[in-house]
Amino acid sequence: MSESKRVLVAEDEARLARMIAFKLAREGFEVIAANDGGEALELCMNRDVDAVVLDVMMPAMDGFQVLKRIKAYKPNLPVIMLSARSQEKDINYGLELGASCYLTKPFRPTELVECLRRQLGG
Amino acid sequence: MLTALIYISGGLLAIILMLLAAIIVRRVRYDRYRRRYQARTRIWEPLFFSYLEGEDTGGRIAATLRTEEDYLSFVKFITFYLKNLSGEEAQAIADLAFRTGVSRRLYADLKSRRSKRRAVAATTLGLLNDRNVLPYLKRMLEDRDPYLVYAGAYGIACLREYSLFMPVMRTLLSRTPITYEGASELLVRFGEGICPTLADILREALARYERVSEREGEILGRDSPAKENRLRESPGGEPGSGFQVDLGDFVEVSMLVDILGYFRYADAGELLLQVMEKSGDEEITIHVLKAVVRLRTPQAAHRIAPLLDHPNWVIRSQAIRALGVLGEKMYRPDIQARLQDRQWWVRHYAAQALEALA
Repeated sequence: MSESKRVLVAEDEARLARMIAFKLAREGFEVIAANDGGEALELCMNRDVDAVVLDVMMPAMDGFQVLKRIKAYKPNLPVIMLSARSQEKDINYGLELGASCYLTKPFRPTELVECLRRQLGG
Repeated sequence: MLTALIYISGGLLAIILMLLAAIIVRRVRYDRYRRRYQARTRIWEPLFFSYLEGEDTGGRIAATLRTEEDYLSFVKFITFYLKNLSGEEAQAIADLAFRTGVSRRLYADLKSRRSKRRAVAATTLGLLNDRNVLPYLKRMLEDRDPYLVYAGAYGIACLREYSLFMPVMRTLLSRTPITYEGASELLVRFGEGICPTLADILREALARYERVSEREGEILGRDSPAKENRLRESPGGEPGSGFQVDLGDFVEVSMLVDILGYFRYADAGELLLQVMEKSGDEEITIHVLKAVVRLRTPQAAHRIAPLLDHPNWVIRSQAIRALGVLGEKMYRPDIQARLQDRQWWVRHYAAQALEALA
């Protein structure tokens, strides 16, 4: 099932984005990457994605703004948020906005995969 | 006279040119180093990711670590991932550091004459969760160089050595130029497991305050003549390993309050309110109000409401904010009255609170 799932990874820290993409690809996901919030939103709207991994602090548009707009147009799209430890209050906000799952940095990539599989029914 | 001016001008010009040359040379060397580092990371990254996936033993990475610069660059490379990853991946990085000999080199660097190398080694070994480094880190807390003191504190915090929490806090506040926010950011690295200890420290401070007040009628306030160095031996412990705070130690108490609030340690809610009421210190009061908002302590609203008339506008505004978050509607009229407050921030928070209580 996971072989056909397309995941959008929106993370402006390139090293982390590449690591997540590598991990997800090894787990059988197809990965699209976005470097900022604006690009993430555009890809989400114009491409057929099955889930989104969304960083909170991104240039152009932060993760919450992206999440709000995603949920307005695709309310059932699973969105997994990534947040730095010091922004715990942001995580609660993200959940209220409709995030399916949240992970705080430092995070376990294995846990990210588990979250995705749960949300995608895999 | 003219000759002297010519010589002085020539001398100044020479100094300026030498400085410019030094800046340019430094910049060129840095750019070259950056390009070499990027070339290395382009090689390491796929190998490293494969290693994390269990597809590689790390041998190919080890083969690339030949020179001093390779080793230092690799330490910098893995530090980023150690700060962002946890769990089995973080443990895998620690194993890799051991297998590639990086850990061994880091221990050697702890004895380096260059303080920057010692600092990097200390923080990296802390991030690698190598508890054998603890004795070195403890010694670093006593160093004269604040940079090394900070590195030692950082390493100890990463290792979550709770017994050293108070010495670390004491040292950071007294012996480094670190800001309050910087110290708080470092101290939360100890993790929420530190909260029961911090709560116990505040409880003891409260108990001591009540005993002293009862016995001598003395208020251990900020300007109390009885305020002195609180460093004491813990029972059966080494000198300096124990630490006590008094309610008059407003900086330390505020920091403990902030950390309990940051981790939302609900068990400390009532305790923090008592600390606020007994200390009477404005700084502590502000920090407790902020923490209570995060803790959502039941019945806190009734203890906070009297602060709506406090002469300090910061306290008034934080009290209003807290009441808004706690959701106690009976205080709406009192908050409404604050819409006429002379301070903009008080009016601002009053408007927000009224919206929340609507």
